[in-house]
Amino acid sequence: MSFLFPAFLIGLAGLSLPVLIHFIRRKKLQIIPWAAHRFLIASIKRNKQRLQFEDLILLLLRCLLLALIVLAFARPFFKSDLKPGADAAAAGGDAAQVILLVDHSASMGWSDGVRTRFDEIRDLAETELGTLPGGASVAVIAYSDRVLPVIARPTRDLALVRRELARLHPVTRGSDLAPALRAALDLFDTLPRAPRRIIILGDRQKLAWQNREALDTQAKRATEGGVTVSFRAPAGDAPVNLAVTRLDADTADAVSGQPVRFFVEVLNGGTAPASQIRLTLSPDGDTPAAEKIISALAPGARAQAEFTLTFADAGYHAVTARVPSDSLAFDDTRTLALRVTAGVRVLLVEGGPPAGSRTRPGFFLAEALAPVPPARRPSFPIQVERIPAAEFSAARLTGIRAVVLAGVPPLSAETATALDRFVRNGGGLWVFPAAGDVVAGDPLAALLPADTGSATPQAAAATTPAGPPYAHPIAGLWDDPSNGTLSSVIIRRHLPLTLRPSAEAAEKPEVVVKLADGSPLLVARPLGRGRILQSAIPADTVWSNIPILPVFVPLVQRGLAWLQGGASAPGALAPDEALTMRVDPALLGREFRVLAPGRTGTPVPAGRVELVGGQPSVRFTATTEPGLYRIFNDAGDTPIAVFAVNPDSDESDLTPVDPVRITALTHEAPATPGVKPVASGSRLPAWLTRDIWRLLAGTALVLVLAELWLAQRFSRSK
Amino acid sequence: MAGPNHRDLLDPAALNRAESLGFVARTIVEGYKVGEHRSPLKGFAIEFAQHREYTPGDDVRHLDWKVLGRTDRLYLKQYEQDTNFVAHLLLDTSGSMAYGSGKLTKLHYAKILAATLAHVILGQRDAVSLGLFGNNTRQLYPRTDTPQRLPWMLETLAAAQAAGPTNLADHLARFAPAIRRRSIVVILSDFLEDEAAVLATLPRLRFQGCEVIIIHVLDHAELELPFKDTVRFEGLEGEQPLTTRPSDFRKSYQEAVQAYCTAFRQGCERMDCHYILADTSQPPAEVLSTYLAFRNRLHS
Repeated sequence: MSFLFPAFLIGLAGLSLPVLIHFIRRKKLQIIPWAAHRFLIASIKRNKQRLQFEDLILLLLRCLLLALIVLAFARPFFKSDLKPGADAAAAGGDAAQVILLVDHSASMGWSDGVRTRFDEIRDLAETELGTLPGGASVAVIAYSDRVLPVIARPTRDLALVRRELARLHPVTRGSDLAPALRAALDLFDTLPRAPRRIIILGDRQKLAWQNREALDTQAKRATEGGVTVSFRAPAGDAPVNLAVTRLDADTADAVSGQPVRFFVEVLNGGTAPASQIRLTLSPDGDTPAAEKIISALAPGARAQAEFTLTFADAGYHAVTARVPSDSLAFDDTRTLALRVTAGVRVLLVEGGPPAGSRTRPGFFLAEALAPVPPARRPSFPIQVERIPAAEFSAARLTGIRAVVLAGVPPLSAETATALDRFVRNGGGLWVFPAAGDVVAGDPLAALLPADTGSATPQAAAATTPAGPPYAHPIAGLWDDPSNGTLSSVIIRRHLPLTLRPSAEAAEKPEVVVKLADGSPLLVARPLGRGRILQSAIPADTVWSNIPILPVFVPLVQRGLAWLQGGASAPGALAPDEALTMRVDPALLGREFRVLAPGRTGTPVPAGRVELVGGQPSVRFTATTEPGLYRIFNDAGDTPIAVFAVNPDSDESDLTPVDPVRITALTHEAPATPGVKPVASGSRLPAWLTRDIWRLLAGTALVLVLAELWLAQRFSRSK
Repeated sequence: MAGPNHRDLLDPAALNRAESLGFVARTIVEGYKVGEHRSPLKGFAIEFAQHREYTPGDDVRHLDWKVLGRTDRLYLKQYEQDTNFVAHLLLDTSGSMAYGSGKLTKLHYAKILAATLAHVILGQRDAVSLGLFGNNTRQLYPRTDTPQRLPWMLETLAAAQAAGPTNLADHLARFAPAIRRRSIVVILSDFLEDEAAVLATLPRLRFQGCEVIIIHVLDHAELELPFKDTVRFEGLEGEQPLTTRPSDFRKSYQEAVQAYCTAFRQGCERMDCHYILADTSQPPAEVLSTYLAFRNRLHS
C-alpha cells in the first residue's frame, strides 16, 4: 500500500484528541457540594461496567473515525493485480495522474476541407477523458517546437480540461516531441507518487520524432518511473502538401531600378506526387509579377526556382512566393522584406601615385563599383567619389554609405575616430592594404577584424582561394558553379591576417574567403550598426590577378551590398524569434510602434528604443504570427524597419514516422490509423491501481452516524 | 422588634434571623386559618373525654356518627381540652442538611417547618420542646407552653448550623428515655444515613406512647439529579469526592432514591408513624397544610 499524500499521516497524531478533550473537559468540571453520596456511589457501582464499556466503545469509535479521515486524506492505494485489458474504472484507479501531450504544431492545421487534424485530436482527447477512471487528475501540455503548459498541474476538473482543449489552436511552429515528454516527466517528478500515464495526442509527423536520442532517454526515464506512455493519432495520411520552404534574395539592400534575384524552394511534403505546380512571386501583395511551373514533384522532393524583380521605388518592399492552396495552408506562402535604396554614395580613398594613373590602388575598385561606361555613371545607382588620402577627413563622410580605403597610409587619430563613429552609425568600411609592408601604429587597426602581418615574399609560390562551399553570403554566389568560380584567381602575395577576438559575439570577425592554405583572404566584422571588410591583398594586378577577372565585379558589388546591410532589418525571421535592430542613436528612449501582419490603420506602441549591447536598438519579441511586420518610430509614417516572419519550413514535411519508433516509446502495438489501440501486455495495468479513499470516506461517514447515534443513546438517563 | 416585609420573607438570608422565621411561621398559620376558618390546633388534642347529648345549637360536625348509626341517638364527642400535650421537635443539624440547590438549604427548610409547628402548638397552649442533633452534639431545650418563649425558640433555631456527620439514630436512642409521658415526636431530617438504625429507634418511642411524625426533608436535586455534563460531587460529611457524568446513571439514581424513600416510608408506617416527604422545591406552607389537613381527616 502506498499513499498519494503521505504528509497527511501526521494527522494520526489527532488520535489523541478524544483523550485530550476528555482531560480538558475534566478541568472545566462543575463542582457541587453533595449530601446524597450513598445513592451516587450505589448508582455508579451498579453502572460502572456498562459505563466503562460505553466509554470504551465511543473512544474506539472516535479514534477509528479520526484515523479513517486521516487515511482518506492521505489517499492510500494498492497496486492493482488486474489482468491486462481490465476495465480501469472497475479497478477503481481513480487516483491516476494523466498528462495529455497535445501537438498543436502547424501540421495539425491540415484539413480535409471540413475538419482539421486538430479537431480530430480534440475528439481523441475527449474519448480519452471519457474513459478515465473517476478521480483521475489531468494536466495538459501543448507542444510544437516549444512546450506550452496549458494546465500545469493535474486537476480533477475535467470540464476545465475540456475548456482549455477547446481554446487550443494550432500555431505556425514546428514540432518536437522530446522537450514536451521531458516536461511531462519533470512534472511527474514534482507530484506525489501515483499511477501515472502520458497520452500523446498528435499526428505521426516524422519531424516531431526526429530527436531520437532525446526520445530514447525520456522513454527510459518513463519506464524507470513507472509511467505508461500512450500515443493517439488521427486517422489518415496527408497525400499532398506543397510548401514554399525558402525565399531569399541575393541582397538585403536592393537599389531601385536594379534587378534583384530571388531564390525560391518548393517542397512536396505529402505522400503523393504532385505535378504542374504554379509558383508565383508577388511584390507588395500585388498580383504575381512572375511565375514558374514545376512540372512534377515527387513526395519529399524539393524544387528550386529563381526569379528576378526590379523595384522602381526606394523604401521597404515585401515579396511573397506562393504555391496553390492545399490542405495545409500555413506553408503555401512565404514572404521576404527587402529594403530598396535610391542609390549609394561610396567614398573611395586612395593612397599612392597621383590621380589618373592606372597604378593607383583604387583604379580597379572604382571600375568594379560602377561597372558602366563613363557616360552612364551619373545615373548609375552607385556614385563613387574618388579622393586622395590627403583630402580624407571627417567632413567628407557626410551622406556617404560606404568608405573604401585603397592603399591608404596610416590615418590620423582624429580621422580614425571619425571612421569609427561612421561605422558604428551604420556605415560600411572596406580596407584594402597598400602594396608594401605594414606601417605600425595605424590607429585604424583597432577597428579592423584582423591583425596584419608582414607581406609574403615576392618569391613565394602563388596560391588560390579555397573552393566552395562558402559560409559567408558574399561568397555564397560561387557555391553554384554556374555563377563562376574563384579557382582562376591567383594570389601571388598577401598579408597574413589573424582574426582578432571580440568581446561581443555580435561583432565577432569571420572569414569570407580564405586561401587554399587556410589563411584568410577576406574577413568581415559587424561593428555597431555598420560593417567592415578587410582584404589581405590590395586591389591591383601585382599581388593577384583578381582585378582583371570576371569575378571581381560581383565580388565588389556583393561586398558593397553586405556593407550596407548592417543598418537593415533582417528580411525574415522565424516565429517568436526576436528582432533586434540597431537604429539611429537619436531615437534612444523614444517609443516605437508596430503594425502586425493583417493589421491596417494606426501602428500599436510596442516598446522603446533601448541600449542592447551598448547600441541603441529596437527589440521586438511578439513575432508569433507569420507575415509582414512594419516598425515605425514615434513620429514618422515611414517604417524604420520591415521584416517578415515565416514558419519553420521543416514543419511542411508530413512524412510519417516509422511505427517502430512509436512502439519503442509507448510499448504499444502499432495501431491501425483511427483505431484505438488495445493494451498490449504487461505494461498497461501498471497505472491501473486501487485508490480506496472513497471507501475510507464512506466508512468514516458511517462511523460518524454510528457515533452520533451511540452517543445519543448512551447519554440517555439510565 | 421590627418585622421584615414580604420581600424579606422570600429572601433565604432573612430566614437566618429569628424574626423572619417567626414571621414566616405566623404567615403560614394565619394563611391556613383563613382557608379553614377554624384553628387546626384541635387536631392535636388527642385526649378523648366523654359523650354528651346533642342540644340544638351544637355544631353538628362534632356528632358521633358511629353512635348515631348504632343507636339512632344524637351524641356529641367531647375531648379533654385542659390537658396539654408536649410536642418534641427534633431537628437534624448534620452537615448533609447544609445542601440546597435552590435558595433554601434543607436545614433552612426544616427550620421553617419547625418554627411553624412551634408557633402553631404554642398558640394552642400546648407545650413544645426543641432538640438539635448534630455531629456528636445534642442540644435539648426544655419544654415550654408559653407563647412568650416563642422568640427564644426561634432564635435558637436560627442559630443552628449544619456541620459534621450524621448520628441521628444514636441521638434518638439516647433521647427516647428522657420522654416521660405520651407526647408527639416530630423528627426533621434528610435521613441520609443507615435508615434501618433510625427505624430501629422508633419502636421504643412508640412503646412509650409517643406519636412519631417523620418529616423527610430532601432537596429536589437529590431526588432528580438534574445535572448535565461532568460534575465533581464533594461530600458534605467528609465523603470522597466523586467525578462523574450524572446523565449516565440519572435514571438509576432516581430509582435508588425512590426505592430508599419508599422503603423508609414503609418502615415508618409499619411503626404507625406518620411519614412526610418534604421536597424543598415545594413551599413549606403547602407541605404543612397538606399534612394538617390529612390529620384533621384522620381525627374527625
